Amino acid sequence: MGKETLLFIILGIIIIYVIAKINSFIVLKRNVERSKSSIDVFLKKRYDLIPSLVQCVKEYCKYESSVLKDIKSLRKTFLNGNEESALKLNNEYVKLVALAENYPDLKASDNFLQLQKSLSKIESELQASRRIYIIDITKYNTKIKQVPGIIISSLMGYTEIKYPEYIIDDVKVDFSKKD
Amino acid sequence: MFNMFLIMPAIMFLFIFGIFIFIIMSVVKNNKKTQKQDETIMKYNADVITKYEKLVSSMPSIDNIRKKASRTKYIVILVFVIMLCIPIFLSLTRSINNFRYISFLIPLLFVFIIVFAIKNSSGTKKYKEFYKKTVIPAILKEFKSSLSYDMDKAMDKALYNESKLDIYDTYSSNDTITGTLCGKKFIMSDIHTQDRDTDKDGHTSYTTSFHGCYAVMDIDKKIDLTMEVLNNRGSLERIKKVDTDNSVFNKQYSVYSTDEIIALRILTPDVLDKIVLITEKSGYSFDIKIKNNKLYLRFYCDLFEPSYKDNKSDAVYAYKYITILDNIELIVKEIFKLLDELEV
Repeated sequence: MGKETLLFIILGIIIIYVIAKINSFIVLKRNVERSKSSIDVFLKKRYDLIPSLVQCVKEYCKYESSVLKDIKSLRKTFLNGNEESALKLNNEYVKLVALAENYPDLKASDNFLQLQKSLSKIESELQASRRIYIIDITKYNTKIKQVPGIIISSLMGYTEIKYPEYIIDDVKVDFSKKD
Repeated sequence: MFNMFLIMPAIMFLFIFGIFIFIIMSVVKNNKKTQKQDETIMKYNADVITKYEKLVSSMPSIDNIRKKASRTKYIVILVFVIMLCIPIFLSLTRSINNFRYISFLIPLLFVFIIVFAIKNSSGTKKYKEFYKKTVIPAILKEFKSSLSYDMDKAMDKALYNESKLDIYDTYSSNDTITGTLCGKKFIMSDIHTQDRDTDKDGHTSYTTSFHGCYAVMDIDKKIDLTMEVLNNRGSLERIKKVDTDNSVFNKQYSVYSTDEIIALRILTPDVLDKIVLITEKSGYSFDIKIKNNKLYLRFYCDLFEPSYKDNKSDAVYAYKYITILDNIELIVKEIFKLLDELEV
């Protein structure tokens, strides 16, 4: 076997390896994007319940109008694609649910119970999708930082993905507490 | 010149002696390992062991049966060793011609091995039968009164096949436990499946595909999901692999599911921790599967074959019965709780 043949074989192996690595980065990044969009779907589903929740709460706690107003406007901003408002909206949402906890009549109402059921389901879905997102980010970040993949990833411009704040800091709403 | 008449028996003798030593060594090694595991179980589960010992104290015949079985075994082993030592002794003390004795001893040794196997198995069989007929029902009555045991009852092959957890050629089942667990219908059986391999010369050999306990429970809720938690192996179904956020769990188990979100809603961080803890504490791993509104469980441990060493090793066996049922209850309770909460 001549030197040139050997060189071609080695070069071929390197090219195949690089292509495989780049493909794996693409797949992993897609997975991250997909899991992020599934979180967004569930967040949207969660915040879609806000008008009903606000309506339901309004009837029982008339003195909390500022919270209701804030949450309504924040929801609008979020739906318009402002991701920064997500964290604020989330805090207000948690406040709203906590507010409902203080009104026993509200907690016992059929409407609220129905909403509670839907919210529990969404919370659980959201928590699962958040875990998937974090797993996917971890997998992607690990892969692009591994040797020798790090050379390809830095050449191709694959950078580390940060865990979004509003996803990490999300507060789980616990409906199981009873008065 | 070496006489073939002497060399051949000598080689055969050495060969048999070598096998004998090898068997003894592996038995000793295995025993040491089991003893260590047993000691750990006894150390951390003293209350269960005490309860068991109290339970069998009302059965005086268990000790007699065990002692009888052990005695027969030891006498046969002793005679076997003496017979093996005779030719060595003769060859060392007199002349090489005494190897002639070996040619007479070899057929005798084979007869002895057969007698030993028959004798030993009948002693063990008696003890195991007694254990299965008397001790296991007593254990269940004491610790899990909603369950009953039948040593001769087999689980229907179709019930095992529907889980699609195994591909095999031969199937056998006995030692079935039935009743209710967590208020749901429960059936568990000792299953042994084997793969058959036939080589070019037509020789058939069998290898164990699965040997352990298999349990089935109905899920009241209609749930369109196939989910598998498998002990570090691939799925037989064409479903997606799901990663979890528990690295210890990921090292021991692989999750497959038709719905990633529902799978992680069931496998909450708490459930994952519990599965890891159960595996660690019990020393055996398992498979969990949800399919067609049924919950399937497979435990990689042989529950229904007690040794007849002593009361303590029996107590460890009893502990394994109790813990396996406790663990099933724990997992099932958690999964059913989550399934109840699950709005699909």
